Amino acid sequence: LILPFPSTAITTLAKRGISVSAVITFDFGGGSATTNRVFIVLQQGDFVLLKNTALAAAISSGMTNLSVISDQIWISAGIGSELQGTLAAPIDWSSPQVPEVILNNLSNSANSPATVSWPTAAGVQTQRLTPGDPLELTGIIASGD
Amino acid sequence: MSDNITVSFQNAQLTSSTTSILLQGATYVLQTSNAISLAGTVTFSSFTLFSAAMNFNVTSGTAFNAQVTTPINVTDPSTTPSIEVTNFSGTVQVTWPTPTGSQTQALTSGEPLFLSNIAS
Repeated sequence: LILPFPSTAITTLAKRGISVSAVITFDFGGGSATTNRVFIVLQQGDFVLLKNTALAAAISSGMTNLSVISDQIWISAGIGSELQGTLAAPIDWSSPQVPEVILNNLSNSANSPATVSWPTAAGVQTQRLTPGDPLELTGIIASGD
Repeated sequence: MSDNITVSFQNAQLTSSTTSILLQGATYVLQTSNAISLAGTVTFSSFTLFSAAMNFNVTSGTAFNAQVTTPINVTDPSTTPSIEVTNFSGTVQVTWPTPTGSQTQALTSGEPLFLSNIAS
């Protein structure tokens, strides 16, 4: 028995892509908050909560409140306070799209305000974030729960 | 089904280096506009969030003033979800929506509390 597979379904699957998960890590190096809310935006992907892999924040100074929605993480801090610490977050995206991140409202000081690390086939890739500029997580691959 | 609950630590004394907010029959959920939010005097050295567990690593003995507001998804509408907060003494309350208004109850450390009649 051969069931016809409608071309519309094939087109839909291709558009949706394949859902992939990985953990990305932000390392805050002491940049100063330029407003009361420092925030990270994830484009072409979503932050997700998993059973065995945590969204984990260890920010030693500067943070007063923390809020998370599916495509943003907000860190409330006093203006001028320096953020130090790490934030690891599981994300989902639909391959072959490539997610990108934007860091907002940290001063672009001489010491790197923050970096982001993500898994690639060649190992962990770490790049400095420039506030306000999207950074594509090029070559990102899945890392299991 | 998604509902917003609030857990309020009111100057509670933490009795271990980790305090957790655990869900049974429900999961935390990230939404596009309704945040999981920690507010107050958030004095923890690290914070981890899983689909059914939220953990604060703290210095034992820390007085904890924090308000955690989070959407949750009830995983099986035929059962009543419960919440448990561990390793504290003092006052911790949970508030959840019901068809007749908000319900607020005090939590006892380590004892699950059913979120009876929780409503969207």
